[in-house]
Amino acid sequence: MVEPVPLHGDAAGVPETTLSTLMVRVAKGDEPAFAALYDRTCTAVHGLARRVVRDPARAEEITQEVYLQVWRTAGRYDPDRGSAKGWLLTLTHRRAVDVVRHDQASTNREAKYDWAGGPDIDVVDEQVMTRLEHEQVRRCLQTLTDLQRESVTMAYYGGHTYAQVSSLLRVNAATIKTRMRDGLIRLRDCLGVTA
Amino acid sequence: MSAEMHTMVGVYALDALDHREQVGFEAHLSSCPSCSDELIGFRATVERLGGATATTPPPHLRDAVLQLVAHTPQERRVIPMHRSERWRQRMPLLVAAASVLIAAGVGALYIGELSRSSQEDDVIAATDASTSVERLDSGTQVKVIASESMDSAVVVMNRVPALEANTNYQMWAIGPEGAKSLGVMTADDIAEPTTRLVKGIDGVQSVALTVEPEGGSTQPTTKPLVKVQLT
Ligand SMILES: [Zn+2]
Repeated sequence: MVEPVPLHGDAAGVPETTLSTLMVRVAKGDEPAFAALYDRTCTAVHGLARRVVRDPARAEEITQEVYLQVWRTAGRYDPDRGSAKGWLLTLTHRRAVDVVRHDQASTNREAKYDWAGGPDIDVVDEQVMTRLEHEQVRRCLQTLTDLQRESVTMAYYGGHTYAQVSSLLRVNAATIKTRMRDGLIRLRDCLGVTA
Repeated sequence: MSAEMHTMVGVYALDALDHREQVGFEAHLSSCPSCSDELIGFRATVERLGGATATTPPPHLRDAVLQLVAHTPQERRVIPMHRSERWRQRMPLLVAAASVLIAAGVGALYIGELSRSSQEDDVIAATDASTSVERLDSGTQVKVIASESMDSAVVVMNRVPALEANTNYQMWAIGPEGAKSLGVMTADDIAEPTTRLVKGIDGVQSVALTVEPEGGSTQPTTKPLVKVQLT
């Protein structure tokens, strides 16, 4: 009834055409395709949620909510606007950031973790592509100035607004905005992003 | 103003604007080809940052997700629409609706139908959606995802205990003027998860769930099973 989904690649290294094809099938209510999509993207989605919110239980909630949202709204995914993985990670990041900011507002838990730490890899069955991607991103992050790198990682991995980054680093907000943009330009060029 | 706006594209790509600035920047984005162009590359870059983290979720999460999906209807939507476009279309209406509600006080609460999942999705996907959650030791969890800009909230209840005979659950919105009923739920209404769309959240401080005699009550008569404080 449903043709088997070829299994190759992993969360980071799946050919994008495969993920887009899966998304089209998910939009039509294809549950096996959804399960395959989950299997291929869950370490990236969960990894990002964990990295931003830190708390394992919160991260699980976010991961669950993101996939539920993907299932419900798969029809909104438009391949012309970006990759399927990009869409999933955007949903994950926005939700994780909401949780972090909400928690900060209610409990004022100003996290004591290493801001400049970059991406986490915290996986037992880590696969080759993920490790390569991780190494490349880490290498490219090192090409940024300290302030660019801190601004980018505190915002993206820490879930902070630029205003929060500004007050945490005691650097004026206009400078932080500029460093985030400059940092992304340098990162984009180092990673060879062609889009 | 506009020159300053151009520097925001990096901040925007990193999701590092607060909600209000985000809405403002999306308006700029729609009329600024250079920012839109730059955003494409930044999005792809940020995606690499996101994809560089990896943590295998616990196996039970996969089971939970697949089980939820099997019971969750999909939104029926043929034409994909860009979020910011939808946002712009709705903005004037929402502002108008919000001012009417403020003028009328907290008088416009009502509960939506369970099947309107696309409205629920819109609330959940709103850029200002914030989640408040309350968990009991028994495993019962009630989550309220509220969007001020949409003046709505989605209540998601997991592992709600079974009802005793001749009782119903009743959901309440609690504000400065006391509790307003958000509707009665019978044993048949309880699913895993049970979701409810609440429209009109202006002034609501918390959402509570009580057990009431069959048919419900005009005011809560028991101590809430769960009370979720909104922020
Ligand atoms: Zn611009």
